[in-house]
Formats: sequence, C-alpha cells, structure tokens
Amino acid sequence: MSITAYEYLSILQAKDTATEQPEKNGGFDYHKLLENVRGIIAEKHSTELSSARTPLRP
Amino acid sequence: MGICAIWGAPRAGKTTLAVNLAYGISRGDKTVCLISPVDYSELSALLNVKIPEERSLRAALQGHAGIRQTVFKIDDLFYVLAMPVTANAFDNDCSSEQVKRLLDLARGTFDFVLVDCPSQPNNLIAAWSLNKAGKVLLCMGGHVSCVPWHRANKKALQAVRNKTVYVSSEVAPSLDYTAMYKLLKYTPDIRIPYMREAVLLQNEGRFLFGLSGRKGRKYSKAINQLYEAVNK
Repeated sequence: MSITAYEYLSILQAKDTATEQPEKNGGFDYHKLLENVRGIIAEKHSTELSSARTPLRP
Repeated sequence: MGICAIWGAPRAGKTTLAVNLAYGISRGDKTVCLISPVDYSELSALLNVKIPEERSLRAALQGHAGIRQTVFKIDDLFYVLAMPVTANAFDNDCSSEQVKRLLDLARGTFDFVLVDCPSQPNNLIAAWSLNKAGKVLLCMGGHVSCVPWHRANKKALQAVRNKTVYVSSEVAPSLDYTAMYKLLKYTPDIRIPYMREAVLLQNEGRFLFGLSGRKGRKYSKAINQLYEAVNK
C-alpha cells in the first residue's frame, strides 16, 4: 500500500467532495476526470518501477 | 459523524490518542471503527488481542465478505480494522478504488471511523483517509524532533488545514510545550495532558481513558472535549 510522496500529496489535494456537485460544470465532472488521470499515471509509474527492478542474483 | 483522521509527526502520540479516543467514544452509545493502516499488527499488541487474517484490514480491502464480517470486534461498540498478526509487510498491495470503497463502507456502517494515519507521506489508506475525513486531529506535541516534521510536511498540512483540529499531545514530562507551539506557530484547540503511566498501561493492553484519580479524570475530560470537537 506504499505510494510515492507525489501521489500522496495529489490525493490529499484532490477535491473528492466536488464530485458530488457535477451539475455546476454542466454535467462535466472535472475532478473525477482529474482523479482518473492521476490514478492512471500512478499505476503506470508503479508498473514501470516494478519492471525496472533487476532481480537479485545469488 | 463520518471519518476522522489522526495525524502528526512520529512519536507525537497519535496511536495512544486514537486508541483512547475510540475507546472513549465506545463508552457512550456510538459505534466506532478504528482503522490502523500500518503494515504490521500494531493494534494486536496494543489491545492485547490476536487479529486473524479473516477479520483484518487486508480481508476488508479485498471485499470478498461484507465489512461486518471482516471487522474485528473488541466489544459491542468498538471495532478495529488492522493488519493480521500473520501480516507480511511486503505483501500488502491495494488499489485506490479498494481503499475508497472500504472507507465509504465504514462511514456508512459505523457512527465514527477513526484512522490512525502514519507520519510518512507514502501510505495509500492514510492519503484517502485524510482526503475524505470530516476532521483531521493533528497531534502537535510529542518530542522536539517533531518540529521539523511540520516544516517538511507543510504542503500536506496546508491541504487539510480547513478541517484540522490542533491537539496538544503531551508525551514528555519536562518539555516546554508552550515554547514548542510558539515555534510551530500553532495554538492547540485541545490539550491532552501528560500521563506518566501511559507506556506501562499500553504494554498491558489497558486504556488511559476512564482511569481514576485526578490525572485520569483530567485525561478523560480532554478526550471528551476532543469528542465534542470532532462531533461538531
């Protein structure tokens, strides 16, 4: 469940509660979109990190 | 009331406060779920229980059974979600979706959800708890070494500033806490007094809330004040 400091701060700053009132933006939920984009970036970053790890040799 | 995140520097008294606040709330007529997102079973040791895999935070995150079936019961009103005693710190991966779903479920199931957030800015459950919390109890006390933590975490503290309750958690007998708060430029909303017996009682799996004697009553009074503050 460890994440990077960047992801951590992004989550803290994400306006999760704003998703409850999407009508104000004419039905377009900007915060939800931003959250999804951040999630995809975080996942991609995590996958890249895992694949970059060199297995230890005995 | 919803989610309340307890946060602060290392050794600032977060877990002691979380456990005793949860216990204090459960002495009333409210249900409380204490979530400990650390990757080992700290609560098993502190509450003198043995949290099994099927009644653990990991099981709740996986969501194969309902939250009522996966939460560990301390008593009729006090529940915990923490890592099992068999936890492997290198095998605790979960997704943002799992965490958000669990926090929403907990919020809908219990009157109070307390999350004992680790100090380090790397825990996914702590991040979402701080995001979703209605109140953040920031432990400002602790030791002198806590002061630089506040500076280093300025951006994160700023993100939750509007919902922060500043709590003075006094864990050392001879520290000038007034000078420390002046240095931090904070004024505590509530002061939790120093309890000499804290470590001893904690090692025995006992609570500070409800202790007899002048100090004990003072401590319980502060916890009650905190309850009022988070219940606003």
